[in-house]
Amino acid sequence: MNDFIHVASISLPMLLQGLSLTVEISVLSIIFAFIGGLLVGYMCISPNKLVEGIARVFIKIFRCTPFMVQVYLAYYGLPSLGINVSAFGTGVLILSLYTSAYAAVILESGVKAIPKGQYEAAAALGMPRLKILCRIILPQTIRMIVPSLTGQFVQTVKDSSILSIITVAEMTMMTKEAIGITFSPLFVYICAGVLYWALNLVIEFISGRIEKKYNRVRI
Amino acid sequence: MEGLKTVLEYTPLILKGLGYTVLVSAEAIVIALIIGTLLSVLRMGGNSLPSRIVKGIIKVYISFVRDTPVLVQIYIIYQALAVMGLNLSAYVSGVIALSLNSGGFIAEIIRGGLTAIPKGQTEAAAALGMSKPKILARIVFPQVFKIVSPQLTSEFINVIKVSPMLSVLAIVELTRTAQRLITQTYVTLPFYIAIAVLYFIVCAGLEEIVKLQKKKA
Repeated sequence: MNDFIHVASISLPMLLQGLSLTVEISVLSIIFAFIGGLLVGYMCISPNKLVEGIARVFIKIFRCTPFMVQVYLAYYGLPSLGINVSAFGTGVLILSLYTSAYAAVILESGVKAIPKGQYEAAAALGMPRLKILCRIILPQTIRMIVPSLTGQFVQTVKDSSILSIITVAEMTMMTKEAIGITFSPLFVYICAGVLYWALNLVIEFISGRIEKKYNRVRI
Repeated sequence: MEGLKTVLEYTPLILKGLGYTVLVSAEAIVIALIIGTLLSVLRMGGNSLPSRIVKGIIKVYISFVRDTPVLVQIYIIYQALAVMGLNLSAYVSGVIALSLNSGGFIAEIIRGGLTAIPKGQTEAAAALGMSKPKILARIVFPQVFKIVSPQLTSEFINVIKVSPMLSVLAIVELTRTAQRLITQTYVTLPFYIAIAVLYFIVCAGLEEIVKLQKKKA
């Protein structure tokens, strides 16, 4: 028992330090991915076939390759393109791009669920296309896709652990460092697992609250 | 161009790595299917105290599996198996970790499929005197698997996309093969591009199958 307390007293501060970076990376990526998802989703429903095609290729590439391989490609590929960003920057960039591909698909499916009559009615009233999307379609869509979007953001938090392979000192990386000091891998990994779990449960709780609130407004 | 030549030189090795990736993923998804089915059967139990406890444990298990990173799960399983005194190879613990992970997801998929089966069917079967296991095996699950087959293929794609994480246990699947060749040849980017293309072909091909399954359903 004393051993565990000793190990915990060393490793927990390190894990919490890693957790704060995990939260930072996740929040940044989720914000960027939401904006990126809106953009790519907007391209998907564009009347211009070329614009739509570009968006579809973007989505396909990011959805059909493992995130770990994307991370490696970005980490080794960006410098050879002459772009020198830190490991942290690379991580946030690739995580945002990856998540935005998924967010775009979720947004698109939400937009498609809105009855067509609403577009037609808004267009008949003389509203421009962008205004129809922002004022009529999007508010309804967002309400509908809160659960799937939450699932995706939980996925983002989980995927941020992969950034440990490119030396981003988030929680998984800090876990390995703590193990290097304490030599008790199982206990420290389980602690890290529980912390990730708690973080994601908080996200799910908040999302549940948002859902409830919107449903109340609806009635 | 020099890099491309090097990659082509090692094509047989890379394809062997791809074979291992597919093999690991296939093994994992088969075991996961068994785990997922088992979990969803156990979840159907009544309201007696023991079955409530079992249900609670399964709920916590699925929540943990879905809300923690696979990478951390792989490390935990690898270390836990070692602490339990089981001397398993990295390959076996990798497959176990992937199947335990995917099993949690499949249990949720099957639960979704179960809600699509009208209650009247099980009642009718029970009225005909069929035993509970027989009802599940002969009436319920054949239909459920048919309904959820697109999601199961998607889950297979997910497993393939997660399998590169096994490279941290030094299992020589596609990603680890590439890393080994990189340290040998000092050519980095072309190898990663090559394996990304291979993963893309496999996953995009499977996605087409998902589309076909959805059309059929």
